[in-house]
This record gives sequence, structure tokens and C-alpha cells, in this order.
Amino acid sequence: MTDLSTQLIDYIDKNLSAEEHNKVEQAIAQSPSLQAEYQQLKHVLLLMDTEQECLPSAELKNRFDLLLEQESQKIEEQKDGTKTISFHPKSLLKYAAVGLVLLVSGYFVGQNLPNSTKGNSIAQDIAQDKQFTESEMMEMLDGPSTSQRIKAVNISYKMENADDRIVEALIKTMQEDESSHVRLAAVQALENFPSNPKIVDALIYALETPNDPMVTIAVINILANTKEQKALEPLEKIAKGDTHLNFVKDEAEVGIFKLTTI
Amino acid sequence: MNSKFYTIALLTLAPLFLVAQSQYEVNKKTGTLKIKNLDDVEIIGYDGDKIIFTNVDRDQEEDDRAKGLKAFNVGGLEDNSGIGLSVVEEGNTIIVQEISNDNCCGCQDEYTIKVPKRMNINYNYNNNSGDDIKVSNVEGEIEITATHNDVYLINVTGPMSVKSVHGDVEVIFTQVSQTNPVTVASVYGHIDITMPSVTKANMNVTMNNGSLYSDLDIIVLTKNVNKNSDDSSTKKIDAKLNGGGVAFNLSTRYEDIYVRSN
Repeated sequence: MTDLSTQLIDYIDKNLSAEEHNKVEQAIAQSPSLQAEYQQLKHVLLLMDTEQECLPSAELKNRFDLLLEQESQKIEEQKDGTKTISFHPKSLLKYAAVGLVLLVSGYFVGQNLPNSTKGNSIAQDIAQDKQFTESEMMEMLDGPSTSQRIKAVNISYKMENADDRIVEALIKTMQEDESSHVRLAAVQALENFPSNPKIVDALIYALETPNDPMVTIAVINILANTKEQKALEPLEKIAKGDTHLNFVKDEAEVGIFKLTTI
Repeated sequence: MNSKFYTIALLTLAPLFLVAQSQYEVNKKTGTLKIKNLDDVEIIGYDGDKIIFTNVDRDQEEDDRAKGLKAFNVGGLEDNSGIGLSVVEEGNTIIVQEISNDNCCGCQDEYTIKVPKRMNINYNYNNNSGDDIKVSNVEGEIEITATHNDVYLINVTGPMSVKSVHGDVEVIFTQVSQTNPVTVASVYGHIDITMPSVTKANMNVTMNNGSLYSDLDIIVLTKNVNKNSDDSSTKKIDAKLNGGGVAFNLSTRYEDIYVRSN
């Protein structure tokens, strides 16, 4: 930090003498780096003036005062035989405050940046999701909380090539979980692995087994959308039979239409 | 004088006696309240350590005739609460079921249940009709499975798993718990979510024939996630809200989804 740069805050606050003011003004005009520093400081000080006052906790204030005192002592100790850079106490405090504001505002600006600059944080989030191992997922699938078991099912979305163990766990969940919410989530997750022949057979079996109507509708949609011809016969049974509610039979009719005509 | 005094005293105390007869309490502060086949119910969270069941519109004429008798229903359940409910404790779960055999519209009694606000709520009602389900001020996990009921969740935090085939689902969050997913689904009803604008979420939205409306800063990552489907009517979106966070799974087949800030 140059001597001039230490005077920038006083320059912005108009606390310099006329001579010093002119000197800084000329320096800013001549130095692009100083000009950039000036613009940044001006923006931060404007933010400080417009933002609502945020009072630190008593503990934070004490720690900051202690840190400030230690730094002052170090400066005093280094005085002999070294170049002394003079900080006006008020300026020192302001720089510390500016540092804090930059830190805090940086965080919030980062939170609100548009899509293009947000990629890194999204990548981090996805990386965090991937931290769950296969065995942790299995353990969560046996947990008592419905939403936690749905979370476990959702983890499979992050696995591009799920192995047989994962697929079998999802099929078992679709068939046996006590909560229809979890069974529905498992059906939706299985949709992501269409190439596995076990899944088609399991979905057909699910069509032929009494289930929650929303689970049955989800199964009908997957098989119809993937043009799975094996589904035609069980769908006709649903549509013509008396074992399902009318809206499920209607969805079966839509599925048959998709399989046979579109 | 004496007879007048007793008459007045009886008339004054009678309403209190009737109110007392319509309430049933269980000492329970944590765990799960599981409600089965109870159509017309409002659940209210509060700072307390009892579950308080109230029959709001007890048929007094019928009560008088059944005075001293215990009600049984076709499922073999008995009215052990005295207000038309079977209330049974199994482990850390309280299971509640209505005794009435009347399934026609308007015949069933109306209940309010006050619960310690951190209790988990599990509600299941699958019948050919359904009144509104209201849950407010609950901070525990909520699981609702319904067919025809409209669902209103007010001042809740999640996690939750909610679905109604024909009903609308409307949720107002005070804040969104980041522990486990929020999952809301309907086939023929709309979904309306209100939550703080700072909520961090990974949104998975499916709306086969509807649209998503929002005033939040939703960053869409992938459109038509359903890459394995040839069905152009299936619309799925993966999106981030405030950099991502808890999984937020919303789906409706024939109606729209609204996500708004409070």
C-alpha cells in the first residue's frame, strides 16, 4: 500500500488539507492502479453508508479490540530501524471495517451473482451430494423417516451408472417400502435407468400388483412414454377391470393410446 | 330458593361439562402422531407437552342415547377416548382412528388436534370424498397421503411428503428445514408454495400439462430432464434456488405450480 493510498479514505471523506487534496487528486488522475483503488474504496464506503448498521456481538468486539491492540504493539516494536508507515487511527479502523465489509459483501454478492458466475458453487453443491456412498444410501433407505428415505432415493440421481445393487435396492423400495411417498420416489428414480432389463420387468410387475393410485399412475406413464410394448396387456387389464379407481383406468387408457397410436 | 340455586348452577356448569366431554388428552411431547381415516380435522402445533383431541361438533342427541355404552366400529376398534376416536400408543407413535361407521358426506364428526409443535404428523385418508386438511405451526416432519382432500399447511418448516390425487396442496413455510427433502405431489390439483426468498433449495419440478410460476430467483439448470422419454407433454426442470440446498420435489399432472416468496 503506497503513502498515497493510505490517504484515499481521508480524500474521499474530504478530511485532507487543500494542498494534500490536490496532490492526491493529481496522483489518481495519473495512476490507473490508484484510480482503480479509489473507485473500489469509494464504492465500499458508499455501501457502508447505505447499509443498515450491523452491531458485532460483545465477544467479537472484544476479540477485535484485542487483535487491534496486538497489531498496534507490533507496529511500535518494529519502529526502530524500519520504515514507518503512518496510519491515522481513524483510517486504520476504517480499513479494518472496509476489510470486513468486503468479506461480508463478497459473500452476499457471490450468493446473488447471475447464472454464469455461479457454476462453481453449483459444482460444489453437486460434489457435496456425491459424498454419500452406496452403503450410506442403503443405510438411509432403512431409516425410520419417510423424507430421509426419499433423500436416499434421490442420491441415486447423482449416480450415472448405478450398479445392480443400487437398481435392486430401488426396485425393492418401489415394491416394499411402507410409505407410498417413498415408493413413488423410487419409481421416478428407476426412470433414469431405462437400459436395465430388470427395471422393465419390475415396473410391469408393479402394474399387476395392488398399489397406491399415484404410484400406479407413475408406472403407467413411464412404460407408456418409453413405448414398452410389454405393458400393453397389463394396461388393458387395468382399463377394463374393476380393481382400480376410475382415474387410474383413465390413465391406463391414455397409456394404451400412446403405445398403440403415437 | 334452593331449587332455583341448583337450577341456575346446573345451567351455568352444563356447557363446561359438555366441553370437557368433547376433549381427550394424551401426555406426549415427541414422536409421531399417526392419523388414519379421519376426514375432517385441523392439526395445530403449540408449545405444550400434551396432545389434545377435541370433537368440535359432537352429536349430543346421539350421545345421550349411547350414554354408558362404548362405541365399536366394523374394524373392531373401540372408542377409548369417549369422543369418537380410538387412540392407541405403539412405541413412540400415537395412532388415531375415527370410530364412526358413517362415510357419507357431512356425517362424520369434525376434530381439532393440538400437538406439541415438534411432533411428527402422519395423516392418511383414502376415501371417495374428503374435506380440507389443515396443519399449522408444526415444526416436525409431515407426511400426508390423501385422495380427494385439499391440503393446507400453514407456518410449517418441513421436511414433508405430501400428496393428494384430486386435491390442491398449499403450503406456507416460515423457513425451510435443510435436513431432508420437501416432496409435494398432486395429479389433478394445483400446488401453491410460499416460502422465504432466501430459501436454499435444489428444485425438481414436474408439470406434465401445467406451468411453473414464481417470483423467486430460480436458476434453471436443465429443462426436460426426462431425457429417456419421447413424450413432449412431460416437462421436468432441475433448478437451484439461492445456490442450492435441500431437495424440493414438486409435481402435478394437470394443473399449475406456484412458488412465491413471503
